[in-house]
Amino acid sequence: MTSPTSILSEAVERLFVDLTAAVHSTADASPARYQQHWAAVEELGIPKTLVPEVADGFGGSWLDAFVVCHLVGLHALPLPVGEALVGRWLLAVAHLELPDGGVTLGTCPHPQFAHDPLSGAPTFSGELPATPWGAESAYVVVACAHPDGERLVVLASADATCSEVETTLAGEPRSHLRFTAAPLVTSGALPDAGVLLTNGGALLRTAQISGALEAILALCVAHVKDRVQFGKPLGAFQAIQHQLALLAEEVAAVKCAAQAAFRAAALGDAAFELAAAKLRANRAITQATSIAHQVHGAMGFTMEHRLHRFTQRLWTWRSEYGNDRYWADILGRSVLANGADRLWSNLTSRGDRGHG
Amino acid sequence: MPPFDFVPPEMPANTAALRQEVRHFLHTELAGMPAEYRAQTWVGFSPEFSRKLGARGWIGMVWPTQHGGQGRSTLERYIVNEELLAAGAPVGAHWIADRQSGALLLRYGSAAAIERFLPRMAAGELYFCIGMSEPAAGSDLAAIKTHATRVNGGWCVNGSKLWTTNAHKAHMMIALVRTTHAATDRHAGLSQFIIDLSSPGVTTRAITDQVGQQHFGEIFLSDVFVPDELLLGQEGEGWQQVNAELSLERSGPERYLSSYRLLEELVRAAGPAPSEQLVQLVGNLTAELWTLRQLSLSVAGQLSRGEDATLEAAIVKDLGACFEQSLPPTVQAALSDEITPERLAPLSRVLKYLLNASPAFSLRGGTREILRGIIARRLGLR
Repeated sequence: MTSPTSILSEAVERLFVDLTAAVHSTADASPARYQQHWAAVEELGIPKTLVPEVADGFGGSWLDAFVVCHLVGLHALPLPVGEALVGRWLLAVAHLELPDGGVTLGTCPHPQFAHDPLSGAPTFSGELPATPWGAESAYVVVACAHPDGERLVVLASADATCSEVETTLAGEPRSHLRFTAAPLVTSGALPDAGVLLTNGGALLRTAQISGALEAILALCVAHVKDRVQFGKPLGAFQAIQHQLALLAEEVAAVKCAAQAAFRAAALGDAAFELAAAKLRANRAITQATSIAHQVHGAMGFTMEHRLHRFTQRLWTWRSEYGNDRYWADILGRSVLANGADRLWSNLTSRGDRGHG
Repeated sequence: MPPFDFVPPEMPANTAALRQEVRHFLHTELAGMPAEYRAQTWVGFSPEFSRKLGARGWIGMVWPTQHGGQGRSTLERYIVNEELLAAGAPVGAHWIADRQSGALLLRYGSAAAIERFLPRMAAGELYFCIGMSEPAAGSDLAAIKTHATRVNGGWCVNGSKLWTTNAHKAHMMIALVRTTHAATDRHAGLSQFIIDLSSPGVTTRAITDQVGQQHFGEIFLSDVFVPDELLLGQEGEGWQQVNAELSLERSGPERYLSSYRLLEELVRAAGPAPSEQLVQLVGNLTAELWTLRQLSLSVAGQLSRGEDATLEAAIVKDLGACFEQSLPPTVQAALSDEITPERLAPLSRVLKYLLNASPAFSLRGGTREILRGIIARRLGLR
């Protein structure tokens, strides 16, 4: 029997393969071209995976969300599909409506709220650093501190007065957006909006990391079967076999941890699982990328080879939505605060949730 | 797609109640037990404790009730065992019987053997060991020389087994033995026998390990008679049977919890305002521990569905052994005088034991080189 998840997975994967090929086959980086690609993503309803059906969404589960975000990593898809998925989930949680169009996630350390002197409408001023596809996406979902409590605010990227684009190692845009007395597209109170956004982003990156690790394992296996040295395929050498075994172990650990974190998200509070999963995923990256580049030799270091699409994204994603130090601090403090006698019982009771 | 997938199973409905029951029992039974003894977990050998567990129905839980078991699920057994290990209960006496010998008997044993052994195994009275390695056959298991020849009513076994856990303390051994000498296929012609270690011709010798303990040893077999009903499964199918058995041996909670005591004692020793280094260390170790538990549980789910978990078990065991083995030196490197001497003392005793015991973690149950070879084979490289 084919599960709804696998039907979703097949359709999404076909699209991602086509889109990745389309982006890499042309030097046309025009906004029109980008919007054409984005329209295909919206047509399939992917950004609304976690939006309930009553709100015109896909009504999917967190497992569906994992499948989508994992595929973004597996194909190194250069589009903010996961950001849009998390952004639209946040909007649904805050009961906010937003027309179709690209959505990305933003953070603003010092938001300032005011009112337009003429119309009296609320306005937003502030800087949003490192916003993924901030200029390309129509809307930016921002979690803000506010005197009346945390709020989720949606801004139109077209209203940004200044947009400096930096690119990641992998060439993905991270825009620095500046808003000055910009109108709010919509906004609503959302307790813990900042934590929800960071955690949503971390879930997304964890699934992407697991996908990209899976991709580099496949590249490595294919390469060592194909490449012949000393009269035999590289994969026939025990030293290489053991390196790939280690890589496979990391792939297994990260995918398992990532899926467990998404399952916990479906149960509500996933703070512990998410911290553990993002940390474990981050920690896998050094060993995995090092093995992948080593077995690929010089050809894996070229622009022509696909390997860097994955390794460069992995190095980027490691820092985003919490690097190792950030999550180790959160996890370590929570475990130490609970104390030795509750270490094991907390570990098991969280895993036992939702059953019995 | 990689050739593996790890999906932790839904835990049974009675999970919380079962945990509470086991914890309550252990709270009483292990009261006052020092941390460095708890750190020994499944190396700890206590017939008295095993009999008490047997009386509670926590040995052979998954075996049928007519043979002394409880007819409970694989996951219920997993829950009880991880609770025992996390608390540091001395489960070594019955561990092998519960983990793999019982399953092997139920699958391949004669009716007479099942009836004779299983109820006493479940009672925590009859202990098993596994006769695989030999003086000239360690990782290269197919090189074993111990052999059995047909005699009237059974078999005559000669040879010796080495590095056998509990060799001198167990009552019975399930031994892998050569029954025919195949000219070409060295994996053919191997068979498994249950050997009563009180039989004439059996001598055992304990070996003192570097910890100073006698947990493994050597077994010499000289014209030992084994009746037909103690042949396990099919003659000549021993290699396949052993490999299926190893999935049970390689994926359980004992494969990542061997150094758990040290993490718990580290958390206990950390003062009210732990340094950044300790916080980071505890965070990193917890992420690894939690992930390993998800992986190990996933394999338990696979085994409960009757799936082949050879690859997944090898992955869990190698990752688990690396974690268990790296934990003692990692904690050692991070300690400082921020931990007061009184708090440091129990932690240091656990550390001392585990530093000494940990080289075995990546040897027992298959070396890491063998495990990585298994993984590479499944990746299509061998």
